[in-house]
Amino acid sequence: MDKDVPEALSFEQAYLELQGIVEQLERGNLPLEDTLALYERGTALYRRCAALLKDAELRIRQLSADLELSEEHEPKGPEP
Amino acid sequence: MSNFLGEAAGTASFLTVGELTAYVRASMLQDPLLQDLWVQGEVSQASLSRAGHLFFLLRDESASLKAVVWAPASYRLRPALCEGKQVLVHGRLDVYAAQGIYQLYVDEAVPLGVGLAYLEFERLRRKLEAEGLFDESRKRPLPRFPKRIGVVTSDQGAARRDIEHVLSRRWPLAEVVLVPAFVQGSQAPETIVAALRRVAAAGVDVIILARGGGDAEALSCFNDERVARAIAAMPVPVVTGIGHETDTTIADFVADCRAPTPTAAAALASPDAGQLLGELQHLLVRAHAATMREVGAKSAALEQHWQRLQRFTPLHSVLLAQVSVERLAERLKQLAANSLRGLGEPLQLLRHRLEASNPLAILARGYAVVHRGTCAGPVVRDAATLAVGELVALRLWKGAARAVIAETAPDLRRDTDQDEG
Repeated sequence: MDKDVPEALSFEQAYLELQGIVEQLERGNLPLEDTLALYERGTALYRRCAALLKDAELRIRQLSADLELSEEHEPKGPEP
Repeated sequence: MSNFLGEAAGTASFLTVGELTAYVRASMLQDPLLQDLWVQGEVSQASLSRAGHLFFLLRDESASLKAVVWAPASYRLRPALCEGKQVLVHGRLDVYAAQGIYQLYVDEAVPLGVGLAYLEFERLRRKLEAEGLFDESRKRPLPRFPKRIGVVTSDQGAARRDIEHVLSRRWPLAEVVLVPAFVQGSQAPETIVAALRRVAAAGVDVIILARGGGDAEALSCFNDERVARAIAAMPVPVVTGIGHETDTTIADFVADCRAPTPTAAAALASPDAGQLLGELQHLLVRAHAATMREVGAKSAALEQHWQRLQRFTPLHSVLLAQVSVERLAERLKQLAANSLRGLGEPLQLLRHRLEASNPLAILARGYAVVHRGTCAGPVVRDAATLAVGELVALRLWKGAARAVIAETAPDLRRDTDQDEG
């Protein structure tokens, strides 16, 4: 099992791990301690995903299409 | 037809008018070019017959050609076939024997500008299709959870607003990298190509190429070969949302995924947060149900072991094990109570079912409740309160029994408590 703290995971990482945990739990045949530890981890991952979805705000970065400018150039409008 | 001429030449040195006309007609019908051709010219002397057929002349500086559109196609094409207009018409050439003329039987007519654009569109479409640029095998799947979404569209205009609106509602976790481009005019193809390259260089997971609705002329930059090839060369999937539902451009054919509008393109390129939240809750319900099942199965198995072991081993070690199971179950209940708050009905039901199941099942597994005197008497919890020879009542899963105490072992439970402390 992944030991990273859920708060450090991206949505995709947390979502996929949660999916894996559910499948593992549904296969069963784990020691009881492991079952409960997985369940606990699963709920933490769920909370991570839900928090990401609720708190997110779309970030928009605008770049110029002019390829001759360097990457660091300030964003600006389209070329004339 | 060769024996036709052979017969004529072999038997006589002349042809009848009918024979000659039939021969000319036959040669005309044999020529594939003449049976499927586009002709450019200026419309003149257009007249509608009483039956609804449209007759006209197609002219240029050096020649004129009789042409006809049969009803009902004539009604559809009449606006395009106005006097003096430059047009491109499609049809086949045939002979009208009774009048000794040949004429064009027209089934399509478009203004010259539109017609040229259409022919160019078809030429490019066939060429790129032959190169395999539209093959299904080239289409890449869109990423499920894009972190960075590239957008190439006009700086101004509704398309940009629509896309930003949809993305912030559906998938606000993403970062949008927007590179404006001209989406109309002669410079448009170049700026679109440059913008695509720029946005790809910014390390996006998927690219949206979009433009709001417009007429055929306005959308023509998306039928440009340079744009098509730039899309094909993108390192990540491209979703197009160009014009309205009815517009299809070369860019749409090359793209990995085609949406009818900018709004639809943004929706295709992003997962829906609301729906994801539902999926996540469903995953949690499944995790919960599986955990409950596992704990239930484990305690049932333990119960069985206990039944078998109690005859041979000191009772208190089994009791210890049972206590630890109870502690785990308690922890699970705690977890469930914390995590499931507000999750709604299904989980509540599961939890109630689990809680309800244990006390009910316990007598069925062979436990008995001991009452002092009769079944109406107080429940006995401590062997120390019982005297040898005392009468007790046993309540079983089915029915009841009365018994006399033969011996008591009052210290067992206290040992357990001490071990725990």
